[in-house]
Amino acid sequence: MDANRYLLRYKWRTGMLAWIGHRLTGLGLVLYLSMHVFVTRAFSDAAGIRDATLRAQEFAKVYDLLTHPLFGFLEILLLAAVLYHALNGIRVLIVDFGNGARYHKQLWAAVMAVFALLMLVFGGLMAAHVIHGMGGGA
Amino acid sequence: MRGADAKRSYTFWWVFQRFSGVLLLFTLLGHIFMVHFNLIDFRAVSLTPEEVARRFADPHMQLFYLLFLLMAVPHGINGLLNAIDDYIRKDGWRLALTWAAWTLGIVVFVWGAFTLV
Repeated sequence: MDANRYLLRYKWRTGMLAWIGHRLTGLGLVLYLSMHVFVTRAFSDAAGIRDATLRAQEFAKVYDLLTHPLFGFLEILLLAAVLYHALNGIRVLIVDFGNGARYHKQLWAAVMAVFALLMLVFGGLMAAHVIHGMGGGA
Repeated sequence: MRGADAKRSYTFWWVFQRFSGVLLLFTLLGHIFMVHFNLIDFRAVSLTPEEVARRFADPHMQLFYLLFLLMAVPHGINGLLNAIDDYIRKDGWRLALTWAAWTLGIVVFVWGAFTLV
């Protein structure tokens, strides 16, 4: 693997940085969605069990994994990937359909500013929730 | 584009990527805020198992997530195929990974759709 051939094909300026971030988060989200669908299937199968005790047991297996603090912190990373991909996606739309090519650098600065703000607020809420949960609460 | 790559209509997929992207702004962000946050109390939450079971049985939720799957899976697989076309130079590997990507997409979509119904 020659990293230069893939990642440094263009100069590391705004457009390249925005694009490589879009691709990396996109690939990560494909991987995550694939796993997520299978975990959700396990959840839904558990919900369909008729025997109440068995249902609660099977449910708990998945639920305990999803509410584990480690998973909670990883979900903050996931939120970051989604938010970056979504915000830069809006930037792509403005560049493609609007007049954004003229000010795509300012647009990326705006993307990063909104990203930082949303992560601070909603990533912060999630972190508070995970830390609170580690104290024994739900 | 030469050799054994996917014969995709690049114009169609270029448009689809943007169209589905707009819908995903609403469905994916909607999903995250419905599952992880209570915006009225302005805090993050974990859904209870009972609430999860209730949502699985809710037709509105099923429709919402079907729309999400219809947009998210092709959007993601198309992005994956773009990356494969960009980086994998050997025809044999590119063909194999292209097939793998299509297979992944179909399996994830079918699995997801069956989870909803």
